[in-house]
Amino acid sequence: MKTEITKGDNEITIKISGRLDTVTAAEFDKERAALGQIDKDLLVDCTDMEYISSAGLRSLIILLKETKGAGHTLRMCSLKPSVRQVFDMTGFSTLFNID
Amino acid sequence: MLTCVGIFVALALILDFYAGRTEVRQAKRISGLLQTEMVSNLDSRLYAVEQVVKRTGLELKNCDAKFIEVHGNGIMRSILEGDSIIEGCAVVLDSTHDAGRWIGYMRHIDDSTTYAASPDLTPWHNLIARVRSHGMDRWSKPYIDKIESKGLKVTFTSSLIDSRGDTIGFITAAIALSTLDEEASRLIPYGHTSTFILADDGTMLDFWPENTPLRADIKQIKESPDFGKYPVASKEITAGGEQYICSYTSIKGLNLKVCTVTPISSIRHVTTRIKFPILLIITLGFLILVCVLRAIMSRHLKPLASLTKAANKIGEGDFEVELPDMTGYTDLRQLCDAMAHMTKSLRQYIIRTTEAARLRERMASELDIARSIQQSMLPQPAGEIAGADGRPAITIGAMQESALEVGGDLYDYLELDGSLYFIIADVSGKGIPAAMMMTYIKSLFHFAAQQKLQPGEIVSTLNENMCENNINNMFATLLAGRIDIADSRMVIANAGHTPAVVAAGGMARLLNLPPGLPVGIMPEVTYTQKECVFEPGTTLFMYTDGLSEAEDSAGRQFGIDRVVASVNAAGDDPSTIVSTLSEEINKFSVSHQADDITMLCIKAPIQNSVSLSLGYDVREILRMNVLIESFAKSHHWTDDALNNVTLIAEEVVSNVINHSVDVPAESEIRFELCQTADEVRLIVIDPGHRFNPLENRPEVDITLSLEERRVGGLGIFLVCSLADACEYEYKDGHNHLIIRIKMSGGDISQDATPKC
Repeated sequence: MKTEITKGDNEITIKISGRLDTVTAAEFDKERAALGQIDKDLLVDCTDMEYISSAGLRSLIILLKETKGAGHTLRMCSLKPSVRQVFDMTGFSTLFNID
Repeated sequence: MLTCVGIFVALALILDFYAGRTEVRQAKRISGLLQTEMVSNLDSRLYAVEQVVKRTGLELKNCDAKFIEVHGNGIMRSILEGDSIIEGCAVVLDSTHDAGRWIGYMRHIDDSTTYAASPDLTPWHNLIARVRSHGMDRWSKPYIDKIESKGLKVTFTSSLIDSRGDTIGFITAAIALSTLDEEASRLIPYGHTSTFILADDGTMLDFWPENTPLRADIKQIKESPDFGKYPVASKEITAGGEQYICSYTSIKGLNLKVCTVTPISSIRHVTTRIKFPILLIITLGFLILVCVLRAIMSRHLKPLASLTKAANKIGEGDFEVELPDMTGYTDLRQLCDAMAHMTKSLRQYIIRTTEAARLRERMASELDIARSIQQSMLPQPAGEIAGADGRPAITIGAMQESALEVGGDLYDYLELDGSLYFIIADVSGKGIPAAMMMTYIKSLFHFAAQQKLQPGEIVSTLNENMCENNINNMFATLLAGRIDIADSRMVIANAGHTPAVVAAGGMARLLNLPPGLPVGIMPEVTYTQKECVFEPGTTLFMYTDGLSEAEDSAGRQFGIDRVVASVNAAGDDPSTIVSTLSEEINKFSVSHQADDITMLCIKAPIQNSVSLSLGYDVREILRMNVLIESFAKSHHWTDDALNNVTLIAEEVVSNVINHSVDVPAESEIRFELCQTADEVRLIVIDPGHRFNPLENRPEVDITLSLEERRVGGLGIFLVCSLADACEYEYKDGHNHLIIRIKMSGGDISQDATPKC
């Protein structure tokens, strides 16, 4: 798993590549913490996200809650079908704003 | 022989025919000549008579009738004596003025002369009329002298002229035609020739009796084209079934023709008489000549026949045959000597050939034994190495085909303590030297393998040993490797060998190996070995350059690309791959096999069941994922199937790891993956406290809002969503969770409603 964070003028783009699973979720959590206070809207780019498990979902929902708590929005884009399937099954599709 | 006689007889008959024609022509010519001569004689006799009469007429010119009457006797005597053939003569004074009507005649009768004279002309009217009708100075037609001799006569008449120039009478001289007949009778060129005096029109004179032979047939003479044109002519006529040659000549003064008639049989009778004896003699002579010639030829050809017989015996292989004695036959003796020399040379040649054949046979037999020894050194061409823990075996297919009786190619494999050691090698050169080196390499390989050396070390050992005392500068290219059967790992080292082919999941490619010098060239070379996963279902195909460098009739090589393509197309059974390649190469290079060809193919089995022991650490999930991926690849799962199974496995195992409490150190979670015809089974066994995750899971309401949602419990929810059946069991102090996912042909079924 690799995380690329790009801070733009209006939004912060977090690009996640590879697998977001039990092993890598902790790493993602660290990256998320390093982001500090969320002061802009977030865009999570899933173009290169190969796989997600419940651990990954947990990290993402924490991020969503934090973002909303900070009064910003979180959008997700470019989900692969296998990833989207997990979102659909767990009802996360309705929680997240997915492009 | 009969043909010869036939030709001979035919020739004789033709010759006879032409000889006959020539004889007939000759006869015609002779008759003509004789007649011409005879007529010439007659003419001169007649001329003499004419002269006598004419001279007398001239002497009496200017004499009056009285004088003539008075001297009649003397005048007539003078005429008779003028020529001996004159038989009779007459002086007739027949003037219209009566100066003297008188006739006197005189004739020879039996050597005496009779004379008569009379003034009465009555008895002579016929004569006078005939003379008048014929005219003077010419011969009369033949007539019968009715007065005296009754014979046939002709008369020459000349006029008497007095001093006034008036014709006062005439004088005649008669000759008997019998005189002509006598002359003509001398014209007998052949025995049966008849002579006739004919009238000028070709008919017989009336005085010839009615029964005279040929009287009627003689008229055919008029059909001759020469008749009437020439004084001499001839014609072949047929009378009474016999052929005659009829020749005639005209007697001009008399208007008569002298004719000779000769039967052709009398012309040819001499020839006919001698023809058959001559023919017989010639035929007999010919037969005798043929017999004599045959006898002579057979005497001379006898030695040649016996020589032929001897040559035939030599041809049948009897070199001891005695050649015939040729003393006296110079040419044949030379031939005989040459044959004797040839027989001797042949005998020696056969002895040499037999010896060489025996030697060749012995060599062939030894090579045969060497070949079977070499073949027996190779392990079975189709083999199986049993897998660990009762898993399916590694299958092996191999083939070794030498260009000569024995070859320098080698393949070998052996199993030692759960490892499969293999080698494929190609010794430089062919035949016996290469074969001996091959056995050496085989022994060294076995020795090195038993030392449990790494493939790189095995190749180095081979290199060092081959470099020692390598006076013939022989070398070998090879691939040597080891497969650890339990964990599917392969280590392989290359010594300048043709690249191996790896096929997995329907894709064949060349195996990329670090380069290395062939063994036997330079000592102290380090060989780098490559380590890789030999995944279930993977096929490793190795070969010697006899395969890739085989040439077709146009000199084109089979090529490595074609090897890769053929392996790809041949399926995944090692024996089938080897036999397919063998058939293809036989079709490709229809001519003689130029180099040794060896193939070795090893296939890792597709495992229907894998298992792994995991520690209580989330990082262990990475190992589990590698195992699942490898299993998925060997069973050709789709990406979706792999994703789902991985997700289920991760959620279950991470659940165990994260939620187990008080597990002893070194405890392990056992993870098993099984594939059956219609489902995949995941089994997770852990030694933790009894805990059924299916019962104790938190409720997940996916309709809740973000604020209401709990973070957690999603894992087991996902497992139940994706799986088709989940079972829990606690036995032997372990939690057993069994999860079934329906799958056929590598793809999950679309019906993904939660079943647990």
